[in-house]
Amino acid sequence: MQIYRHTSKALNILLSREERLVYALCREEISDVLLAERTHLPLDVLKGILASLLEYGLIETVAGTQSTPSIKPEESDPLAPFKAQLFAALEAELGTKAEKYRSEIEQKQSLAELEEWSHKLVLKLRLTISQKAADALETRIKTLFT
Amino acid sequence: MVQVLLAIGVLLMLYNTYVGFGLKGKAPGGIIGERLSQLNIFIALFTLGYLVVGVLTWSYPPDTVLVILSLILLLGAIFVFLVLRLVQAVLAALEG
Repeated sequence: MQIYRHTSKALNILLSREERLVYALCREEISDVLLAERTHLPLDVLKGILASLLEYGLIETVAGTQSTPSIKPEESDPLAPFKAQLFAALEAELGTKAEKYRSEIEQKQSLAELEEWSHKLVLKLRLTISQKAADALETRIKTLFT
Repeated sequence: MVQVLLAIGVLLMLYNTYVGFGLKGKAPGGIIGERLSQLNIFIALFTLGYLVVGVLTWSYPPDTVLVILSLILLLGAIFVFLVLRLVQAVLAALEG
């Protein structure tokens, strides 16, 4: 997973519609997974656009797990890092009880679905398990999905 | 008449006590869990109260005051039953 953001370079070249969209979304730091989710672009197309924008110097890589800004289109689950982080957050708050939510997390197909489920879980925790744990989890989820 | 109303009220309250403590297992903490603990204590106390009233007035000759009292107690038991049904529905919605 890579995280991108604008560089200080002014936009003085003509971009395609998709490039403008991706460029606009990079106004704040954003991951490639989130970009794919929000733009609804296929991963290979997004990869090309990100490569172009990087080449123009309009965006830069902030952090990432790969040395190049590429996204592997063959990657089976682009949500895996999000799922892992979400589960780690759950485990930190609920301990071994978090295990029963693992299968539910794994079933989620999109980032929006995962985010919605997380918010529902926070509500459920707040109402039936622990308000303190729910507050802590909510903070972690906000960090994860922004 | 009075005895029947009181008996129905007591039975309903005993059922409410059973349901209330059962629900506590589904919501051990959080907002609902905390409120349910308080609710269960009061349900248990009221059940005891119903029993005491039933025992003390069992041999009394029926009069208007006793009929009104037993009706109020029965309606109270129905109210508790409905509150618990609401909590059950909320927990079911959260599960779904």
